[in-house]
Amino acid sequence: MKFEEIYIDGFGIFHDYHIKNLTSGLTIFIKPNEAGKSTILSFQKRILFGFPDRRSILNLYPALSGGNHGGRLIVSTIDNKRHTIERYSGGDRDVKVFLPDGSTGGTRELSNLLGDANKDIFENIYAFGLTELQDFETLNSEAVKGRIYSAGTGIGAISLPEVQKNLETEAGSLFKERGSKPEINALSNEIKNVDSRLREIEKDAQNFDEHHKELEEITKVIVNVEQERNQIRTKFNHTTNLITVWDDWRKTQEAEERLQKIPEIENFPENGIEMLERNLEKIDELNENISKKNEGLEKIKIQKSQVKIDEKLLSNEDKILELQKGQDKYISAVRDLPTLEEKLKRDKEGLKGSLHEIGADWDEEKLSKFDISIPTKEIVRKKHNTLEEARENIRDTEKEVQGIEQNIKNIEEEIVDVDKRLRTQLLQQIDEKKLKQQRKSLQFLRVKYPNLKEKEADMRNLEEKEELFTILRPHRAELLPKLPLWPALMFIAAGIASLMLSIFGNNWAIGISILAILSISAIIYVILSRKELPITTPEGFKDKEADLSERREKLESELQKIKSEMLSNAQICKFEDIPDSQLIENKDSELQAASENLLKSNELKKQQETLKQKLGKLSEKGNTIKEKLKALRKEKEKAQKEWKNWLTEKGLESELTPEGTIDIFATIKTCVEKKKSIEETTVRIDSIQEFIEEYKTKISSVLENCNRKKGEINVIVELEKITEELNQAIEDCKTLEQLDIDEENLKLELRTLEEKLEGHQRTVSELLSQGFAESETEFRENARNWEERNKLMDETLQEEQNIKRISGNGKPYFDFINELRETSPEDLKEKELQLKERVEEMKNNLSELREKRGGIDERIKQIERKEEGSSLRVEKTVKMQKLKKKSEEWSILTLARTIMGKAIKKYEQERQPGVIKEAQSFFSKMTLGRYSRVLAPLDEARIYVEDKDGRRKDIQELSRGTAEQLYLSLRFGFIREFSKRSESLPIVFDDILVNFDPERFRAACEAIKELAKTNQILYFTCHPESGDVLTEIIPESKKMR
Amino acid sequence: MKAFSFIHTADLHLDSPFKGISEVSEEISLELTEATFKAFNKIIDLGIEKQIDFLLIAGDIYDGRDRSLRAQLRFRDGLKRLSDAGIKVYIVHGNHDPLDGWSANLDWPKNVHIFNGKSVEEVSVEKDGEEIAQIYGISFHTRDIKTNLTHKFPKISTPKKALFNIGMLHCNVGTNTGHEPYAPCTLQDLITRNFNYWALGHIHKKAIINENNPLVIYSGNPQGLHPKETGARGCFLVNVDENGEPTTEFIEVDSIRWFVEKLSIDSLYIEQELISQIHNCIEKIREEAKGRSSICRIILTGRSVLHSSIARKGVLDDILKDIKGDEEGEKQFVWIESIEDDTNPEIDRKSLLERKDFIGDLVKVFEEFSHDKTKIAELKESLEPLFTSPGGRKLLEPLDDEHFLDLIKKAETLCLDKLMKDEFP
Repeated sequence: MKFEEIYIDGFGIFHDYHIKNLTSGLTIFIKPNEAGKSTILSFQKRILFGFPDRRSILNLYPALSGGNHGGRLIVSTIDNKRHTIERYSGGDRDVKVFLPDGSTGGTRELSNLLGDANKDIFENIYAFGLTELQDFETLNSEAVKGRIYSAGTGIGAISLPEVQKNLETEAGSLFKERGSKPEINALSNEIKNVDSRLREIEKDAQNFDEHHKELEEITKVIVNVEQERNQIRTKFNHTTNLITVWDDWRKTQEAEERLQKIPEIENFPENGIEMLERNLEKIDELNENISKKNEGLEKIKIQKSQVKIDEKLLSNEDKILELQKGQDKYISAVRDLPTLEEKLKRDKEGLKGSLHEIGADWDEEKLSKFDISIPTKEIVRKKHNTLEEARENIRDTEKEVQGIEQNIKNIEEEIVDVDKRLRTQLLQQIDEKKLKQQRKSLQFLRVKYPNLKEKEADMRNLEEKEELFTILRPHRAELLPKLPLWPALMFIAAGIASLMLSIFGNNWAIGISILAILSISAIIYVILSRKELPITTPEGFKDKEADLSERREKLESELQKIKSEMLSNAQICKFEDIPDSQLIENKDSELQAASENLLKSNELKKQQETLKQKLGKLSEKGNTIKEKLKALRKEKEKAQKEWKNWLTEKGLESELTPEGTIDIFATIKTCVEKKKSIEETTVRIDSIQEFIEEYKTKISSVLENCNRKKGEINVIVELEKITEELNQAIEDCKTLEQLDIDEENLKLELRTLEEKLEGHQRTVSELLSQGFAESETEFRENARNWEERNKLMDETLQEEQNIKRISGNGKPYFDFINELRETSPEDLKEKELQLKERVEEMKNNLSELREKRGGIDERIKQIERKEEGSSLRVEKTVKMQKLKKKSEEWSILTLARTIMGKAIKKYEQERQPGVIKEAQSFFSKMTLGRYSRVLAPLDEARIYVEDKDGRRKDIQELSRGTAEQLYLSLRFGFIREFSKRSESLPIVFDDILVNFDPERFRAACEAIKELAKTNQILYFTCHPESGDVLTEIIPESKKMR
Repeated sequence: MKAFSFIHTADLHLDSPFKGISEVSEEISLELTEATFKAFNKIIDLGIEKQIDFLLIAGDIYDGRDRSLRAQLRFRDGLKRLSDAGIKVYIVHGNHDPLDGWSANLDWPKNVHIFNGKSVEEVSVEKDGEEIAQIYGISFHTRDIKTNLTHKFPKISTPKKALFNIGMLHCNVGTNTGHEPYAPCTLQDLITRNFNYWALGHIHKKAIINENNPLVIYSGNPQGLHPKETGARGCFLVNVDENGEPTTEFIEVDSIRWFVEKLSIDSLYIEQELISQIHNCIEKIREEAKGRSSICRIILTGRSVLHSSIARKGVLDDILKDIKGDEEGEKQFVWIESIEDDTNPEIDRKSLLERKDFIGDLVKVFEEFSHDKTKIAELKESLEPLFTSPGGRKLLEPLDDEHFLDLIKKAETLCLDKLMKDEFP
């Protein structure tokens, strides 16, 4: 790539500044100080790599002379294609590359133009001034250093020292001999930790075994202690048992002693004393009972002797009882008698009053004769009905008479009304016959009228034809005068007439058309008559003419006949002339109305007739009913008379109405009842009086029979007294009977008791003999001894059982007894206490041991539960594997670094990098052969030089000029090497050779000449002589001022 | 003779940790600690279900050095279950659980017979009062038994052949087993004893090393514990008929299965393709594991452009982390223990050797160091800071040559990855 043009829009002191016509080789810009050489250099850098940030400490070169801050570089590539690179600091600040095809690109296109060179490389190697040249550090910039050292190594832009360093860092991150953070170191530590934890767990396992041993031992001890404790416990229990049975044993001893003191009895009845006592008790009881019964017998005997009975009284028992039954009746009869008498008196007075109510002359006799039976009542009721009916009929008939009279009046009014309407009708009426005649004539006229019209039309036709014949007859023209005009007038007249007719017949159109035809005919006729027509007479003409006139005559006569007939008929219809069809129709409607009128009046007449007939009938009926009314009134009077007669006959007031009579009937009935009651009362009084007498007589007779005195005071009192006595006598009888029975019973009981007594006495004597006693006392003594003996023996047995229950049967029992014999309760108590203490002691010992064993057991279980070991072992193997992997990684890194180091050495020894080789060539030339070799170890950021004597020098050891020459050579070397592989870039020098002595200056110029073969060079200088030397050495160079 | 059946197992390694896993979640860790017990319990369940007459355990029940009380307690619990079911158990101890090793002070159920370590014991087995088999066995009285123990077994004479004779031994048959040569012997040693069945332990891979007369079987371990112990693990169920003819059946009892899967990146170009390949691999494993959980090591091999992105630090770790995250909480998990990168960049090493630049020099130097033994020794020194450090000495196994060469190769790939990333982006 080379610059073709530089255009500065605004940058530092430049504004709208052009540099054109740059050569592809060296262009020397000779400008004085502050003329802007550095500005142009900076401009190029900034257009290619961008403007620095505004806050940067770098010179921003603001556009001091105006214009936009920025500009463009026009460059051409090796294939001679022009590109414009433009950049401004305002706006987006991005570079724009205008490509030869007219399109616009940016950074990517610029990068293509620059090849691999970046800002660092361009600023330090391609475009630099004295400052950069003198600054060693500029070569040390990472990018530059890497490029310089690696150029030609085949590893592109990769920096070997960097790779080496990376390998070292990576290895260091994995392992360091002294360190804890690198992964392998950390892993080792972790594994150590896991190991120590595992060891702890192993310890647990060891403890587990120890605990197991302990457990076994302690279990053995526990078993022994338990055995011993059991033995002592047995002893203790034995002693306790001895203590427990001590009392029982004592009691057996005592019982045995007492038994020896009680006399022995062979046998004794069971419950002997009880049985004896029971029998003795029974005997006492029976004795007492027997004496009580004897006393009872004595008492009964005394009672019997005390009872006395009246036999007479008993023989009259039935009579007395009968009288006693009638006692109540007698008392009520005596009490009722005065009341009944009083009632009789009252009823008689009441009857008298009631009779007076019926009539003054009414007495009991009349009353008894009067019939108040139901048939009589029915007669009264019939009489009443007859009278009522007569009255009702009269009233109905009267009403009927009134109705008929009213009807008659109404019909009469109707007749008057019809008459009136008839008279009005008759005024308009026409004679019916006449009307018929007129209608007939009118019918005739209506039929004939069209006939007439037809005939008339035929007539006119014939006349026209006749006229035509007349005109068409030429030979007759000579004979006849000229044709007259009248036919034409006739035509017109006929037309007008038909028009008139048609107007009448409401047929305007026909009329007008006929008139028009006739008028035309008239005109034709006139024209024809005025012309001299050739006259030809056709054959048969004459015959036809004759025929025509014949027909005409016939028609005329027919017409005449019709007209006269019609006229006569018209006159009948009161027309003066033959009427036209309109008049006929009018007349017809007139006649129609007249016939309707006639019909109506006929109807009215009929109605009148009917009404008159009705009236007649009604008057007749009215008369009949009036007669009937009279008859009814007579009938009523008759019935009235009959009723009065009946009343008189019955002895009742003649003025009574049947209703009143019915009422009197009730009063009569009451009287009859009262009379009956009086009669009954009288009968009852009589019967009561009779009963009283009879009763009194009966009592007296009984008293007499029983030897009783009859008192005068009151029969009832007497009766009551004797009744009481009778009752007493009956009672005494019964008492006596009962006493007999009681006596018998007592005697029976007494016998039974005596038998029982004997039985018990026998039992007692048997008991005594069974108990080996002769007396009760002896028996009792024996019983006591027997009982005590048995009791003692039972007790002894019970106590022995108690002891055996604890000791056991057989030998153990006897051993037990022997043992008891040889000890005392005090000794036993003492022994028991001692043993108890021992047992307690061992119990405590055992629980302690068991607790200890539980503890060990729990510890074992705890260890068993621990499962951490498994996961720790997994953790350890995982870490070991990781460690293995990491150590492999570390080994690979270390091996890579070691071997790479060896390769670098080999490379350095056998192949120097191209840059160094090129630089060495330039440096040797520039130093005029003083230095023959430049060395750049691949793994060092250092440059060494060797002089022609093989002495190696560090840069620090070189003079400033020589150092500058070395740096320049290195840059030249790089440019050379770089150009081999990518696009050659333009080189910009800013007075770099000022520190060179003239010889080395020339040598440097030679080097520049060499470089100018491959790269465009812009050389800025303020020393014109420098320019001259350059021009001298490089004649094809171009100077610009 | 009455027909009978028994189970032959060995190398239970109860509570021994899984090896070769560099990362594990807490949940998975718990599963791992249970795995050996689960496998053991499956054997017990199987015995009870099949109503076997006895169980043979040919050593290495647990690792005595681990002093795992849990292992012994759970072992005792299992035996107790068999005892309750009336099933006898015959045990010989091996190098991991020798009689003089640590063993918790536990009471074994009555049905258990443990062979002593002094001499071969003979135990006769009865079924319903009738003698059916004779079992001969000897335990390791100590760990380091390097002598041939088969000589201690009697040669069975013809009359005794009427019974079914079983020999129980923890030993190393042959020389090239890949296992430590404890109690070494030859197959011929075993055959000449005239037994019917040899129940062997020690070799973890199941093997029927003699198919007939006698049957000589390594049951293998019932639970694989190492990436090298891939495939189904279990025990042998042996049915002996009335004529004394045995038939064997291998029953899988492992609860977690190991897989090592190689995955070539030859035709893969982007990371996503790799991830999906790994997922496919996981699903394949899940199917193969038949309902078990499994642990898998994936080894990436081959060359492709994908190599450089895999080689970038953390890339594989991230992929692994994502995949593990997916598996956590799965009832039947496939735990990708690690993804090893054994891939190479898509470059022709031969052409690199011909280069005249630094890369050419570097590859040449690697070439020299891979073949020159003195240079290898020189290189090994560079690793000494780690391997001779206190931790390294104690925790790291010394590198053997093969491993070391592998590391050199990986170092070369690493260098090329770093230096040539511009050439092979």
